[in-house]
Amino acid sequence: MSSFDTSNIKSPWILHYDTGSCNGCDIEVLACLTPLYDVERFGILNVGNPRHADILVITGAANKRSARVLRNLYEQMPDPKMVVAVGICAVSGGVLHNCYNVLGGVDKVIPVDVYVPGCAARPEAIIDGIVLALQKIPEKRKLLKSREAKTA
Amino acid sequence: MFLNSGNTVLIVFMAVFVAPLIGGLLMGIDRILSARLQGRIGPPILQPFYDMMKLMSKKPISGTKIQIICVFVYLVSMILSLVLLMTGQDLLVMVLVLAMGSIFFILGGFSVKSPYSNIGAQREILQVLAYEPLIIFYVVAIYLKTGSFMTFKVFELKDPLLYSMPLFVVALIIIMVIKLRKSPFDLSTSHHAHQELVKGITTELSGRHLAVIELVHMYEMALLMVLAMLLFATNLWIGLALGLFCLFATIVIDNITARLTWSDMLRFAWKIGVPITALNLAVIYYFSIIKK
Amino acid sequence: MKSGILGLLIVMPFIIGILCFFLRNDLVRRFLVIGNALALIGASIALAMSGNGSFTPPHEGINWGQLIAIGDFFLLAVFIYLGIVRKSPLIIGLAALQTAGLIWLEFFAGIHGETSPALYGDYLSTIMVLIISIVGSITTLYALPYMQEHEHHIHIPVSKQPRFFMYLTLFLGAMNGLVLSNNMMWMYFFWEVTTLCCVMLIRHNGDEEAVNNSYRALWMNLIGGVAIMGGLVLLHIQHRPMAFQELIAGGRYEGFLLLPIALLCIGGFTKAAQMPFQGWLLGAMVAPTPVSALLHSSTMVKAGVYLILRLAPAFENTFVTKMVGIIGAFTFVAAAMLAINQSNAKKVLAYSTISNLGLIVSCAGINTPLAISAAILLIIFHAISKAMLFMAVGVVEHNIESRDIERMEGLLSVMPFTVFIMVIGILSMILPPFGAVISKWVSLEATAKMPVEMFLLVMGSAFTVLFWTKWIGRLLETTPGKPTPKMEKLPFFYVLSFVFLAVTVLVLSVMAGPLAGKVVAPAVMQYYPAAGIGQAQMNLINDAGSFPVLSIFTVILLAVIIPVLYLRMKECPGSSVYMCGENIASSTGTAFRTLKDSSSEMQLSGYYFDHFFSENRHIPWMNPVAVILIIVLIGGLCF
Repeated sequence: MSSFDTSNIKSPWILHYDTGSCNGCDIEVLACLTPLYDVERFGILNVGNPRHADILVITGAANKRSARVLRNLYEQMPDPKMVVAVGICAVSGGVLHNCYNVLGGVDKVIPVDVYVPGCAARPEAIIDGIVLALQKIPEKRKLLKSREAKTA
Repeated sequence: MFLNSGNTVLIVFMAVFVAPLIGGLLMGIDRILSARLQGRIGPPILQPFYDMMKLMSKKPISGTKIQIICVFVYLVSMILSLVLLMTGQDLLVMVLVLAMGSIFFILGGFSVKSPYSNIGAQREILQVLAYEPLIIFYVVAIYLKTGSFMTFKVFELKDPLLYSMPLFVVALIIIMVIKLRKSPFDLSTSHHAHQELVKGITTELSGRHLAVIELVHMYEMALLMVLAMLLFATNLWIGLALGLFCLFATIVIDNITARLTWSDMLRFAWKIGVPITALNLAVIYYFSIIKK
Repeated sequence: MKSGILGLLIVMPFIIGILCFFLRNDLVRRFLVIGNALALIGASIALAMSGNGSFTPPHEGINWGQLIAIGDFFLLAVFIYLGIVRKSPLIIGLAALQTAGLIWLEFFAGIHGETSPALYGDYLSTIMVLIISIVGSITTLYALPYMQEHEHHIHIPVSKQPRFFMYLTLFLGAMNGLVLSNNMMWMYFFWEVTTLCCVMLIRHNGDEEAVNNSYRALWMNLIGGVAIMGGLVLLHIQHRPMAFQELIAGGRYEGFLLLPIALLCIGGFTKAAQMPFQGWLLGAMVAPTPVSALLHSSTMVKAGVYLILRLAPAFENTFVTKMVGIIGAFTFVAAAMLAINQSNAKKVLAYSTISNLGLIVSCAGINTPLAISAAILLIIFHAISKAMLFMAVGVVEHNIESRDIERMEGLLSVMPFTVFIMVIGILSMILPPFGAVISKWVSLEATAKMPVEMFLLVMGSAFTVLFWTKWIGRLLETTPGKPTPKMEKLPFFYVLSFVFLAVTVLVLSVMAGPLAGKVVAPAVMQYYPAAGIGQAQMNLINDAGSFPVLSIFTVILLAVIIPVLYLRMKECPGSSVYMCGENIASSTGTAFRTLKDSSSEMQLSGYYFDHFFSENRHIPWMNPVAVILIIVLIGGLCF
């Protein structure tokens, strides 16, 4: 593992976006930052800016309004980037799946790397999900590199 | 020219390569201390370096070419001013070069048509406006004691400057709070998980361009330490302790205060910071006249 | 040889100016102005090569003294006439006061037995002549295409260019005469010529605002004229020489004997637009841009600071020097503060000029060799940068029909070349290692022992950085993802003057060490025991510090060039800015989605700090303070 990979794993900066959640999962995401869970131990920071972020944490089901914002935020994140869908709504639409304005899970709009189900997802589960996403980063970097080589 | 002996080469090497390491470690300590003050454990001490390495490895999507150029000039002028300071060159030139870096950083923020970056840039000018007079007064006070603007003259003094410039410790803390963009004056952009209008002036920077900014912060930290050490040049370890004390005070202030507006910052710096330094300056003037 | 050079420098512009007025052909005028510029540049360089020395014009058939006296009376008659037209008792009174003084001097006091040389060119004069002849000539060249466009813009039926170019070239001749005069009566004559030219150029457009402002410029400058006339009369009463060299050589003066010198300094304050006389320079911005470029950079205001600098050795270590230092420093800080609140580009430039002149006056007032060196350096660099900035603003104004800084937002993608020049101009005012900042560094080191001046200077410098940076920020604003802009097409003379001035400011900044060592130091050492400034290889040094010009230049140049090359190779992939994900793909690239899915354009504007720095808030106390300072200056000498 190169030092770049190590540092990628050791410094995940998170962008949290609520596509239309009931705020249950949002509170759990924020709970991760509190002294009890203290995710900064792992270098995790909550940055409010896609350009600085590595991991996009999404709560809530994708709907017709939030889809375009979601897409825009995803596009503005620099590669390699990971997406974590937190809560059952973000995973599949949950109880809202057949609502008139709901598209379904977040993966209907952008590619998702890790699914964290739960209603609401527990902080431990969210941290687990982020760690899972981190483990996938070296893989993703390799993928990006080979894709770049192909286009060049 | 400053490259004339083996010793200076060593100092330049220290300024360029060792100083950011020390600065980075101090930033790591800063983050741990902040976490402890908030009842958390905090990241590993090497966290700033991990952050920087990670940013280096990312594919940047940054605003405009001008901003990228500006960011590099910011870095270079920060290194240059540290080199000037550590090689014993003119202090006032050092301050001017430092200001130049900040100006380029601001111009970079302005050069992207982005609301957050723009507001950050506007506020960064005000930060410069707030601390610039204090730094120059600091330099002038040193001049009055040593009779020269050259930094190396400080080391020829018998008594440490601290004895005649005690109030400048307060000034240094104010400078640090503003310059390091700590609460309550983290207006243009901020550190850690704080957010100021997204990320203020650095909003549109990403990847290695943001890494450059992180690197500048490391140099900045080291520069402020060296600046504080000048107050106790007869024993640099005590000087370092003094610098660390200022930094510690800054971190405590960061954690116990909430963000204020830019007008509060200006009022504070100019109505409290400036009179404090002016008072100390006046005393120095008074004694230098009596001596004559 | 010498008389030939001086003739070219002083008399030729007068002749060419009159020719410009009578030969109303565009092509001929073009030819005359270009010829005048080349001759002036050549002659000034020749003067610089030929070294110092005094010169009295030969008496063959012409009594120069009488000619000057006749000229004086003519000018005063013109002023009185203008006063009558305006029905302004103030102007008539001030002009009449001067006439009375002049009549007394010429007919009753009998000052004609001149013993001293009428003209004297020392290093300071030569530096001034170089600035006036080179920067001033470039401005006249720039005026050629500018005035054509200008008349096209304001739609006037009959071209007023002949008159315009007459005053423009006259101005240069008068300025050269002013800085070369040793005899104060000559100086007074040229002084009044510059006042006349200035007033006529300000009212050139002929609209109500222009005429009003020209009268304001007239009465303010007439106050200066009265002060100078008073100084001359007093000098005569005190049986002291009315020639600069002799006056300076006459040793130190005290108390009442300093009064004439203080009066001459007040004359200098009016021309240099020091507070409370700043009004006329602010009003002068209604004139076509070349006029502003000329007034602010190489002529007019520089006459004021020149006079004070010239007299500085005569009031070393006296009460006058303290007051001059404080008045200058006060103007420096006050004008810089007021500039922050302005969004009119020309007004910002005007305040910046006033502020810089304040700094120069303050340096003259600190009156140590180092401070005088700083003042001379500032004069040089300020002239070049300011000329460049005014010219660029003029071109921009013709293109966007506005001089509002907010309207210049994102101008980089419209007029990259002009904006590039403008940015160089501004950066050369605020950034090391450019000359203006090197001079500011010298002045800060010079003031470090003067608490009041130092305090004001530090504050003023901070304000200066604020308003300039805000301005460049507006210019550079670009939308990510837009294609690289194409160069705009500009008339030849615009490009020539831009490139010439930009290259000059760069070269002189790099050469700041030699410039200080070889040009400024000798100029100071003529009147002071030491220069306080010098060069060590390419670096600038003084007693207390050193400025490694070359090293800083190299490092900064690399810092700019390396990223530029790197960006050439790698296109920057940014395409949009962060707007909370609500961006809309549009032609501007800055639209966002808002209420009811409608789209809105993002708009940015600068901070102007109305609550802190507005004119309404500060002028009411600044002017009285400045008046009090001047009263203290005079009163302190009388009692």
